[in-house]
Amino acid sequence: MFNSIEEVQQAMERHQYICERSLATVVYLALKLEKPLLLEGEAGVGKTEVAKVMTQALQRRLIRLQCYEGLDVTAALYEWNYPKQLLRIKIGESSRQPLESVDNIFSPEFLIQRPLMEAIQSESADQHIVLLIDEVDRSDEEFEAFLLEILSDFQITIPEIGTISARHRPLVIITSNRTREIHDALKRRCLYHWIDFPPFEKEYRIVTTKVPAIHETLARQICSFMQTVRGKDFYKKPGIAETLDWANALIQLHKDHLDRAAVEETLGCILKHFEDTKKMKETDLVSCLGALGEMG
Amino acid sequence: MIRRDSDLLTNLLLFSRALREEKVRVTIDNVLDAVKGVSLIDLQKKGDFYHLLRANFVSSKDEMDAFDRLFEQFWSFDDSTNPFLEKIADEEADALEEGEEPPSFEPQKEQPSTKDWADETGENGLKETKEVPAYSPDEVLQQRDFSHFRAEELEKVKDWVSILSKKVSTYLSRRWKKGGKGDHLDFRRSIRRSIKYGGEIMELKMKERKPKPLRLILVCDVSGSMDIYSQFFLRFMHGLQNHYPHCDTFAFSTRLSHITSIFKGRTFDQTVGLLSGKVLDWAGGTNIGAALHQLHQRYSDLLHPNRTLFLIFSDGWDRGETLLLDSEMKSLKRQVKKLIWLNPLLGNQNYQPLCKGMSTALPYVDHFLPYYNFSSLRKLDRLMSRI
Repeated sequence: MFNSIEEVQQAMERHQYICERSLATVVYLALKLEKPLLLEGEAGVGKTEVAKVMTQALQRRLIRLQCYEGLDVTAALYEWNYPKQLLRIKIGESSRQPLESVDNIFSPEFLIQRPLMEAIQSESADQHIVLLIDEVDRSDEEFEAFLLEILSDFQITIPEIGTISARHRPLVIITSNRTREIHDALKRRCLYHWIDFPPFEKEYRIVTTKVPAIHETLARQICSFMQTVRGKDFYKKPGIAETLDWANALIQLHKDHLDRAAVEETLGCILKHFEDTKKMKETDLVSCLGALGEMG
Repeated sequence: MIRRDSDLLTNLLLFSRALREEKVRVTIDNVLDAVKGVSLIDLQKKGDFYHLLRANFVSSKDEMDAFDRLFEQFWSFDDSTNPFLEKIADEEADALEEGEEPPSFEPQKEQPSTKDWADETGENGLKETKEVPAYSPDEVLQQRDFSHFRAEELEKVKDWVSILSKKVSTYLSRRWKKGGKGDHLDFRRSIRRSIKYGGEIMELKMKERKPKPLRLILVCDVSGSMDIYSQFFLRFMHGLQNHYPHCDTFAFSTRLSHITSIFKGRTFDQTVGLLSGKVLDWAGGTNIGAALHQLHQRYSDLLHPNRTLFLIFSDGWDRGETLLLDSEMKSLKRQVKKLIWLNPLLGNQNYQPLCKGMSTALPYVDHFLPYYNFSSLRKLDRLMSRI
């Protein structure tokens, strides 16, 4: 466990996640205050990565719940194991056990644990959990309401069994791409942090850390190019994930610097919308490359 | 760095009250967590203190500006620039006692009416009784044509439009209850039932699949003749887009632009800045047929006969080909569940939909509604609650 913000930041950097002190501060607070951390930001700025890195840094186990439209309690929390229950009834019947034994089919033995339940009921004391609830904005509002119960008390109520409380509060990281507003009550239960696109220096450090094989000039050019692109008006601005993909692609193609041909060949790595690609090729490419020239 | 170290809790409470006045809703739990957090960080570092408070008090990017501004004012070293100092002295005593709801956090005058809408659960028929009282000063505003607003009234109505769009989005996302006879076996209930037969499953309990949510498509005419009205509709669209996930928004004059991604996650003012750059050519003419044709070609996967609700907002002054408009409307009618046309001119009692574009399109429209003042927007709201 960490005892200062610096330790968190250093640990994250050891696991190749370059971050500002602000992010390290909220992660540290989330651990100390045992509150969930809600991370928002554009796609590809490294929200999910925070959970993965913290899993490694804390040597915990990651449990991930990917949210989607229609996600419900049976897929997120628990479900009764119906076939097993049926078999149990049949066995009871053929061995002429009294009917009371049927009650036992609603015991933990017949429960199928889904991610949230698993996170709360982690068995062994040494196996702490990082719970990642990814893209919560994709789930339905009713699911949010239900998360509220779990995240405020870290307990689950099963009518047939009773209330199960977490033995150890997991580190909970919730991410959202802001495709819709998350309900206020849920947000108020969390620590909030907005992850922005990285400034040039930070992005350069990320690229050189994550893609060690890259040539220094190329790395500088890539980062500078991305800064310019993000300043332009595109439907979908590329994130750090795109930068890293692009860097890897350029290395695979044995490029050691950016020029018009190289960018055009690999444009698909950074722009994923037809209109954006078109706009880039027709109008913005010259100015983006021009910005590289000024940099030298 | 903090003026009254002995009194940090008081200061945090006052700060949270100041935030609430700026509509950043801070709960007492947030304050208590912040207090706990203070012992975990080094108070010499103002940046850490800032992030501690921000992470606890802010819960959306939109609130960050207000937070930053207040933080600078409230926790600054310089006495002369700190307007809160007198307040601290005056209100210190009662601040500690009252906790969550300070007296200054009273609803503003215009809120009773808007609050009613937000509180409505959206059950059919209930809304008529909850109309804004006739003597309410807001009544006048509700009836007034959008084009006749003064600037300060405009602000108020803008808020209403946002609230209403949020409300409409809750109707749309509401799910139906499970019915008694469906096509899926409900194991859980079947087993429950079987217990009384000694474990023999005699009755099969079924469950019904939840209906898939309606997809909403909003198309706004932003040509010259629509200027003042479309600003209001864009606001409505923006509200829906950010509260209802199954929504796509378009704007057109002579050509069509998909503006969903421009709306998402941005404030309305940011959006308008972006839109006026590339989408809004207010002075341009209108070609509804061509715009719909474009929509058919590129976005046909958004159209579904059972699930798509299609709203067009336009005055119908079309300069394109009538034949094209006719064929496009005809095929659109087949591809969507409901076709709703909102027309600002319908506010005029003498208006007849005689102009070429409107008369061509009208036969294919399921609901033809006015949209020129706030009352007409509420009509739309009622219609949506029934669909």
